[in-house]
Amino acid sequence: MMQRLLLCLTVVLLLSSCATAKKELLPKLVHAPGATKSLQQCAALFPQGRWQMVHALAFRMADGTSGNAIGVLVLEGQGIKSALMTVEGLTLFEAQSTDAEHLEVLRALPPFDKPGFAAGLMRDVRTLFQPPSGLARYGTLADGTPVCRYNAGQGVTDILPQEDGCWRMHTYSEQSFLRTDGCLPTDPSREQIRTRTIKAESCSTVESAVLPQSLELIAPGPAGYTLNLRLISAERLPASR
Amino acid sequence: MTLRTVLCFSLWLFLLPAVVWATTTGPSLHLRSVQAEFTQEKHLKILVRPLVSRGVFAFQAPQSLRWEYLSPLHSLLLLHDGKIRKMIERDGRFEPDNGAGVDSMQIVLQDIGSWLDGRFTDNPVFNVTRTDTRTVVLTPKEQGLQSIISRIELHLGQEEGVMERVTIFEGPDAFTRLTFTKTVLNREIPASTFTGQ
Repeated sequence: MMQRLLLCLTVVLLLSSCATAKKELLPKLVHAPGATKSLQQCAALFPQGRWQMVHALAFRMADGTSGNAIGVLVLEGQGIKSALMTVEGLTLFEAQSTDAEHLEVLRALPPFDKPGFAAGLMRDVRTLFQPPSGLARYGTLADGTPVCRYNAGQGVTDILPQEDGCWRMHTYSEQSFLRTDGCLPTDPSREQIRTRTIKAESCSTVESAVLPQSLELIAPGPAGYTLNLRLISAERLPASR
Repeated sequence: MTLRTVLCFSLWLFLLPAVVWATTTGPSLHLRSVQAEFTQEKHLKILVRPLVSRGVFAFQAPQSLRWEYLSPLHSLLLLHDGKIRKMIERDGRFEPDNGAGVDSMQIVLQDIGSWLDGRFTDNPVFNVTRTDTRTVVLTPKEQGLQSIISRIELHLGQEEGVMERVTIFEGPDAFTRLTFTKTVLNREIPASTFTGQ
């Protein structure tokens, strides 16, 4: 009897936690004039051409685990090469990807060899350093904040240019694709929930590219994490032949 | 292999120059301390240009180490009295880098202590060979470690007790080269250098 009571109580607590979990829904977009120029300005917030960048990287997992690493990145159009190293230079992870569909892992020491890590890391790198894909629209939120919105089927990305030349980014996915918190979606058909919040700060323009000195990526939820990137160096590379 | 093994091994790499210094010096030179500046070049297949770091290190027998990167990222590892502290500078202040594995690094200190006593060729981690009078090659004994480091080449200087460079090979296209300069041997180093106090 007591066991059943405890079980029921646990279920109720779990359900109530699901019900009260804060969900950031995709806000409505009000179309605004000047869309083409504004969309070009949004796309220009991301570096074009070939770049080699090095970041000091600090991460914190939802369970409190934290650490530091050096992140190395080579951007070549749609191609991305990335490596994670200890502060002392031991390579923990190295991979390259010619586009969003293809990924080659060159080295992955534990625990970076876990299934899904490589794809997840490269997805985050693409989100941070490449303009979003999908049907683009420009408008404002209800409070007047300008937004470039990219709709790529199951996901939506909002870029919010800031007055200081930097940007914010919010990515959303349909709730039916979000199962990290163990809660069942209330409306799996259409609800778009925020999956990433990214802040780019202290931006400077180098060779016509906007380079944030600081990037913060927050993935919410019990399996979430926070990633802080501090730019150590950025070098424009000559075009490949 | 676990992250702990990887991080323990990375500590070993820190101590490598000191260990080798301690064991390759001739009988006429009893090594008590080493201080040097270093330049570290990291080469990776994906890198168009190598990453260059610079720093300083100090070692004092029996088991005190300060390994400090000055650029591009200021970080510090201190080893003294069997305790390890890792710190990283953020916004002008050092913060502890308590990533998983730092505590477990202390486990390997006992082994390292025995190597510093001169029993280097007995060490359980590497096979040691001398390809010529100035080159020592270390090869991991365990298959698991070979997946992290394939071999390490140590190039000794002409002057006794001076090491010129260490090259750590991770794979065919990946290696780290440490070049040492301004080496000072057997000068007394205050304990505060290793405690950060």
